[in-house]
Amino acid sequence: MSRIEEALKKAKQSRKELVATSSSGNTNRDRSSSSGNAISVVRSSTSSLIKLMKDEVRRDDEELLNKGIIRPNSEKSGVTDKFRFLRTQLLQKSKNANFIVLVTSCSSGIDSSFVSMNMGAAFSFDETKTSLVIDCDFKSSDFEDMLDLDYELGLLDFLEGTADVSEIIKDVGIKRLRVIPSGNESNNASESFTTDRMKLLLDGLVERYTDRYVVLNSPAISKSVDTSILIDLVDYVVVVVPYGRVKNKDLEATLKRIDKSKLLGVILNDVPEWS
Amino acid sequence: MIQYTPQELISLTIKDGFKHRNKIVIAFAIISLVVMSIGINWPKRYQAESLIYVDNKNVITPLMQGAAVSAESKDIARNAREIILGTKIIDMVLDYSGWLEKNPDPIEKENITESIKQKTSIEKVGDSLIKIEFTDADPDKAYLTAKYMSELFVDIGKTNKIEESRSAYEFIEKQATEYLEKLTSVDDEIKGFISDNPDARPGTQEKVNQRVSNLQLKYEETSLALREALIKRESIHRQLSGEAAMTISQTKEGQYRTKITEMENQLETLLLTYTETYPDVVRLSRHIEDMKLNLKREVQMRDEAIRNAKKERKTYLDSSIITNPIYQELRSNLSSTETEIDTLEARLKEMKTLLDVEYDRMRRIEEGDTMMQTLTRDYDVNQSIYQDLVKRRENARISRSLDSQQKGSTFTILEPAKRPLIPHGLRFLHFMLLGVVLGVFAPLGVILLLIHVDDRTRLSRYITEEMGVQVLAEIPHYWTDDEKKHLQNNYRILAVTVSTVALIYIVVGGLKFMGKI
Repeated sequence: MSRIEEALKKAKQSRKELVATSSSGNTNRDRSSSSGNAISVVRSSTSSLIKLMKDEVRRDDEELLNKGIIRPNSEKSGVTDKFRFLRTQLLQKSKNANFIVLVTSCSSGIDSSFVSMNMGAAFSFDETKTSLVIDCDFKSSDFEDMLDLDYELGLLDFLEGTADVSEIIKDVGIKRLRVIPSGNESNNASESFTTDRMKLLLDGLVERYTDRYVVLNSPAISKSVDTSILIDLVDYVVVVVPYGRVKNKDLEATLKRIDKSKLLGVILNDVPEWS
Repeated sequence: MIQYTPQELISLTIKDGFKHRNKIVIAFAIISLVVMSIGINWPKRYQAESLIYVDNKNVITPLMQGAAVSAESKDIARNAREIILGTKIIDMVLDYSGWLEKNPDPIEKENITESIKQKTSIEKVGDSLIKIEFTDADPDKAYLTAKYMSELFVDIGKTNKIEESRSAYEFIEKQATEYLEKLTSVDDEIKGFISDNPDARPGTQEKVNQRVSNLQLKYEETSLALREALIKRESIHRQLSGEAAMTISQTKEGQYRTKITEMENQLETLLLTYTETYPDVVRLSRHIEDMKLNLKREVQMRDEAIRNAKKERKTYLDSSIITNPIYQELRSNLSSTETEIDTLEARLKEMKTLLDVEYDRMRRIEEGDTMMQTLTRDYDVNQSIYQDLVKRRENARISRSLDSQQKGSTFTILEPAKRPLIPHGLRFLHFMLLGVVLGVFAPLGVILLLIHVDDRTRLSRYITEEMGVQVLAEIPHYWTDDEKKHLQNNYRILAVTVSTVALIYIVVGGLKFMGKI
């Protein structure tokens, strides 16, 4: 177990108090608020902590590539370079400050897992940065298939209070990349996002480590209210549009529903290319 | 609808082409094989054609050019089509070209006739050439049909031409005869009119005009002379009124009395100075006494004469009364002037009568002229047309002779029909090429159409420009190793499909060209 996770366990008690406090009415997301102080107890020199991060599970690059996850030295340099370029653009937008970005799509049946996962992977290429990909799509996510995840606990378990943060952050065998799976299915997932626990989780995750970049994979905005709720909690939003599968008018309607100040742009995905 | 640039269209077509590669290859295979199979079963069509020179002017048009306007002749190709596809030629073609070898019943014969009409193409080439084309699966029938069509058309055309020339000549001859009759009739009318109206003779008008002019001049001169005579008469009358017809001369009695008076005055003057005894006074007194005696004697003589005249009942004419000579002269002038006036008036009256006669004559001449002009105009027009028709009749006679001897033929077969050796129209090779071209371009065309019609997001520029949102990245499809293997297999299958189509083309093409299919 890494020292970070040990530190998180030490803060368990403080977070229980934090949840009690936030449920009393403080819902505004403020990274400098006192509600984050409980987690910031464990904030320390992040760079040294990254070095101390232990990747217990190791995966072969070839295996990852075959699962659709880019690697820094892969032959599929075309796709890798595109994600590197995307990462650079995001960093320029945030002026190198860490952030939470929501990756969503504009209609049902379109999965944004590939972009979310590889965006996280692209951040993790940099040895001075870590990334955390959170799967907020409880119904149609490809995360489990991509990563062969077979975890019992996930985001929903945390939001329902049945699991601790340390229990839901998973090492998927990629250096400097962690994943929070969606967890057990629940009927009232949307209600869970509106609780302070989600907000506190996100605040804590980015504030604890200034070099941590959080990527949220969410369902299509037109089909799930979850995404609309999550947009309020993140810094940026990116919309994935698969080539030739979405009508222009649907895309336009989707973009109109997103706060312009948070909308970074569109990623045209799955563009056909001779191989 | 999105407006794409050519580069964008090419790029999108390539992308969608790759995406739908399987459909494209399948469509290519199906289209190319279907088109090839159509080519295999496409019937061979042999076409025979002949070129005929036809003078598109009818006979009557040049003959009557400038004299009459004939209805425009129809398009020569249309004329030729009507003649060639008419019952007369078609029946002969059916008979000569072997279409009736199988003794078809009337319905079959009608079908064959319709088929021949559909396979026949008659078109105008240039101004005076007609191309007759006949297409059939049997090269012999194509050749014979085209041959007989052209030959029969020329024969009938020549026959028609001769008939047309003959008709034209007869028409012009008839017209010339009619105009000659008209001309003769008008000539007779003119002669009759002139004999009935002497004043209508040519030149009469000028003579009458001259005569009227002279009469008017003389009339005016006479009128002037009359006015002068009248003025003269007036003047003489005025002079006569101022002159006495008789003048009284001084008598001896008067002379004595005058002398006595003068001497008495002289005596009184002398007595103022002298006495009565002065010699001059005495002499003068005596002289006065003498004069008084003389006077007395004269008075006695006159009284004696008056008494004698009374006795003899004669007018006593005093010797002192004499006739006035100026008066006498004026009277003489007046008399001659009166005579002149009477003469001039009589002359004027006569002239007026003559002028009236001439005016009447002029009116008659004018009326006659109008009638004469009408008759002359009719005569001139008829004469002009008749002379023209006579010339044209000679031309028509020559034209008829030429046509009857077939020396001025306007129907000539320039290129006779030949037996076709190579099929006409689309051949198997064309279908093979068409199959490949259609197989490649039809699916691409459909993709291009889809890109235009299908309103799905494909273009970053559209998102940026129309929606105002930045496109952060265009991420190509991620090929996993498994997918790559599938893709390679897919490529192989597609290559095999295309190769199979190519092989089928080669084999079928070879067999076809060897004549085994």
